[in-house]
Amino acid sequence: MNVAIQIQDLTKDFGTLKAVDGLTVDIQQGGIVGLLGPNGAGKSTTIRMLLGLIRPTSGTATVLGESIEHPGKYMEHVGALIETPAFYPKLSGETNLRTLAALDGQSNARIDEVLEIVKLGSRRGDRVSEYSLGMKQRLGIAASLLRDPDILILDEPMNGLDPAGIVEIRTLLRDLAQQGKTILVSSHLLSEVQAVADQVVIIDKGRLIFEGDLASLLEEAAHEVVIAPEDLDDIATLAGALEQAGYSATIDGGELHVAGAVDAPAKLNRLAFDNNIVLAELRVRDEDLEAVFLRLTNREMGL
Amino acid sequence: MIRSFTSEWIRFQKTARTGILAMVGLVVMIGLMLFIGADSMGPGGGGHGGPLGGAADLTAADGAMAALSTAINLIGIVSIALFALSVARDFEWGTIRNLLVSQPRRATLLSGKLLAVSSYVIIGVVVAGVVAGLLAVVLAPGQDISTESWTVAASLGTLGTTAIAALLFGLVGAVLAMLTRSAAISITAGIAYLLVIENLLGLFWDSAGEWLPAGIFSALAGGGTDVVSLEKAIVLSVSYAILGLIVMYAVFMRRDVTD
Repeated sequence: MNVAIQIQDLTKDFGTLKAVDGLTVDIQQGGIVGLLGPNGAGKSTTIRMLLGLIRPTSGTATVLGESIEHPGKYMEHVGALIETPAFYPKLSGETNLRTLAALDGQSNARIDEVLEIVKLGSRRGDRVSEYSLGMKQRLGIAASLLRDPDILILDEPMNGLDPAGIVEIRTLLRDLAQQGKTILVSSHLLSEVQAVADQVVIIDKGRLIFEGDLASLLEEAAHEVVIAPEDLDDIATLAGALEQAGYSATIDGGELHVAGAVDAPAKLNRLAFDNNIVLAELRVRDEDLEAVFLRLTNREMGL
Repeated sequence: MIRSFTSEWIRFQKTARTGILAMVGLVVMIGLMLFIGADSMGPGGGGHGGPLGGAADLTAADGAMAALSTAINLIGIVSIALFALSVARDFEWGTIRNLLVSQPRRATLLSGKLLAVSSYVIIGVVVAGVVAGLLAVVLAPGQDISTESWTVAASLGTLGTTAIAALLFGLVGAVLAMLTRSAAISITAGIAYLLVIENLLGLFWDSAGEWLPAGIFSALAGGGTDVVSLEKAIVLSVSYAILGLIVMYAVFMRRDVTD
């Protein structure tokens, strides 16, 4: 499979702030890739560098084999929605698209097509200032589709969309991916891209944290057995017995968290029994993808 | 570049229409003051050396364009506003991102934008010039202002120099807008310089009007003055234009678009 986007040691400093810090990642052609990271992780800066809007401080990147130093050589194959959609507020949605279509050499027929794709045809004549955030988001996606791009880069495309809108956009992205297009979707929420992404790239503080498919990400999940003695006075004894048996256990309130023992709940139960301890609780706990994402990016999650 | 031009032409229509109407309105106002108020502007029926011109202006070969050339500073303000709005608003609204995704060649994008706004300013000056001419033809006989010296060639010459001067004023607005990325700041700064700062500088530097932009552009619009020849006005105007364009393109080509 060919590489659509190749990023090599890419760095961007804004004064003393290192927005992107030696990022290296390859994105293959075709399919949907989720670019994930908390707010301020460097997603938008990375995207802007790929689009030629920002110059990297150091490092290199190529899009469709062309260096990002020369965006004019590849941008005709790239469509993009960058952060909050920006349009001329006093012009209609259709006229806004006309300005971009004119700049891009696209016909008015293409405007009709993309407006229908994002289901904005009935409001095409309304001023953008009268649009909701979700409608502006749809218009932004329509603008990104004007040139029927090979690579579609969407920065937080689900922002402001209602649940039905999110489902529609996911369906649209899947359809486009099936046409062989490469789609890079950034988000600070794993759940937004989990349903559509074939691969995820997670960055934090400008650095690569994880790169791979969702199944690989799930392998990063922590697994543990949570046990709780009926009598809280037994918890220290139980912890000691677990350590003697070679388990790693931590006390959390009235519970013991035994790492990596998901295949041994029966053994733990027997161990407790052998020490004359009755368990009030014994359960296996797996981290879900969201928890893995938050742990990798050093964010707390209320469980 | 044609695509950039067309795109800016489409998006700037409403604003430009307002600007063109403003130019016409200003010229009508100045024309009425020049011709109908001529008696009150000085002795001799045609007025002599009043603040908005005098008899010499009205009876000269390009007298039909007197209202237009007299209004150059006001037309210049409108031009500054149009150019500043065209350049700065894309940074203020974040639409520059969309434009650069569609046209990543920045020099081409900026050139198309400037040409589109320039075309609107030229249309505005031409329409204002036609209105000024019609007004002059209608009003001059009733005010006993001689039109014997009036020629079409001279009027077209003044129309041309006024249009060029208006574009030069606009370029000042565009440069300020590129530097500040704010329409309000760039328009305010442009007008303040034009109406206040350059006049204040003139208090301390006698020959300020011979060298500074507003004085030079006004002299160009009038086909030269007693202190600034047309040739000198052309040379200095071209120099200012080149300097402004270099600054604007250099800034735009290197600027990170984080808006």
